[in-house]
Amino acid sequence: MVEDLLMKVLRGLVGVVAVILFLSLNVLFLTWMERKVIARIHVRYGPNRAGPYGLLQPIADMLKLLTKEDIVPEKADKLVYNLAPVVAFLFALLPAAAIGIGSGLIAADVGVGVLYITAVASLSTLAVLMAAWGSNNKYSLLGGMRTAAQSLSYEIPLVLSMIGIVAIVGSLSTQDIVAAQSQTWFGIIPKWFIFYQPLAFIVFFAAVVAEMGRIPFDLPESESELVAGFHTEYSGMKFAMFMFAEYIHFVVGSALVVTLFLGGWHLPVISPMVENLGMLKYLVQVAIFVAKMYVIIFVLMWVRGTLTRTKVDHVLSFGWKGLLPLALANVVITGVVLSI
Amino acid sequence: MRAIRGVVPVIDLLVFLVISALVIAGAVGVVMAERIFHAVLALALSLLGVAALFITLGAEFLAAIQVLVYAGGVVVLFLFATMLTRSDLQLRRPKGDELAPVGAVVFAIIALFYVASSGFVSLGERGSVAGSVENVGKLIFDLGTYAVPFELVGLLLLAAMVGAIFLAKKEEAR
Repeated sequence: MVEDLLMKVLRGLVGVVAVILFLSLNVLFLTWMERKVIARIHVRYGPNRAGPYGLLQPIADMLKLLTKEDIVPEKADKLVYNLAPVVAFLFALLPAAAIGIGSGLIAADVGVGVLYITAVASLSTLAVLMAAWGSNNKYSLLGGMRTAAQSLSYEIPLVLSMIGIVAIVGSLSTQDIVAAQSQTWFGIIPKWFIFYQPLAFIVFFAAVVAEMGRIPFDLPESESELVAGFHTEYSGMKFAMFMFAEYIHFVVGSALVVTLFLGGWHLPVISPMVENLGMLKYLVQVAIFVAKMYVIIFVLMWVRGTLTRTKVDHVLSFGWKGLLPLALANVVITGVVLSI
Repeated sequence: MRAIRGVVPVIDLLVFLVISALVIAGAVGVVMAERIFHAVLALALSLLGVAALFITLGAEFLAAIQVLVYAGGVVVLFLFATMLTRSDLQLRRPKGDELAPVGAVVFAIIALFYVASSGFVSLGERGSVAGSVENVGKLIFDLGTYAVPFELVGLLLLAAMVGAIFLAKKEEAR
């Protein structure tokens, strides 16, 4: 009993440290990768001064942000203003706990997995609204209101597009969902849910990009009209925390796409080969998962370098009139097929 | 060893007390806050605390729904509405709130009697799966239990939604 409790506490602590470490390393790398990829699309070099290929740029950026002066606007709602970056960072970390990067390699295998993830992910809107209101700035406020409208609109198709998968698997746990995608046709074509639920994949992908607030859905901080949206008034470390939270959303969103639709840590030919290799198996699983995750991340950066920002009314009407009916149709079709 | 074993219920109790304190602090904050925005944030704290209490009782599904619908949905809508009001708007306390503590005490006594007389689920009985997805689903969709009331509530909400849209549209046309 006591030993159980101690093991639980210990496992929880290890999980927390592992999640934060995994996210931090990826976020640091992503800030470099994003600038580099966008630069190549623009036919520029991108960061190339700090370290080989500019790889030390994120560390230089971090040092710069850490040593910057912290400015609090005089008319700000001080308590809310100072609390917002912390809340944003905390709520960004929470969903990652229920995403596994290997079989059993998960911080908390919550029984209601994907529901938990969407629930705590929806909380980050709260932090954005706190920042928007606390800053007492019209650009922040407009950015915050856009965030609220956008994330509420896209949450519905996001949740609906997952129902098909949950109905097929019969479980909400991310571990079970990945396990259900381990089989193959003829040993080569993987039985991933992207093939069973193509419509849901399109809806989910669009909705996830909107929830992340990336181009073409980055109205909350469209710099051409709103300076920087909800974090206009933030500087130094507080600004860094918002950036960090944003990139964590990026990692978590991509990881969620991989978990739900791309078979998680399974790969047709390689996965059966390493099944009996002990510890090495987990290394390969993590490598496969991370590789898939970076494919999604690269596609999203590519999208950012290619597409333009959509108008705010178009974004909202696309969510309600485009994605929502598609998601509902997917639920109905899946329901009918499953009950036959 | 036996001495340590007694620690577990104490930890349970501590967790319960800390979360309950957060819930009550949030609720008091809602009433006492001078700015609407702070009141809504305090409400969010209280609602998240209730979700945490659901988790300690083993009802993960209810906790997730609580966060998704209340903290993530309703509170965001409240904040959204607050942002459309004037930023310097302060709540004025109604006059004659000297009697407020008396009201609070009376309410606390009534609530205490109610809780004591109803079946009080202690933390020791958690691990029951009353709040699991399957059980909630059966309660809602099995015809014998709550299917009809549930559908009626759905119809009521739909009517309220249509009414709200009608009123908003009418305002626009004027």
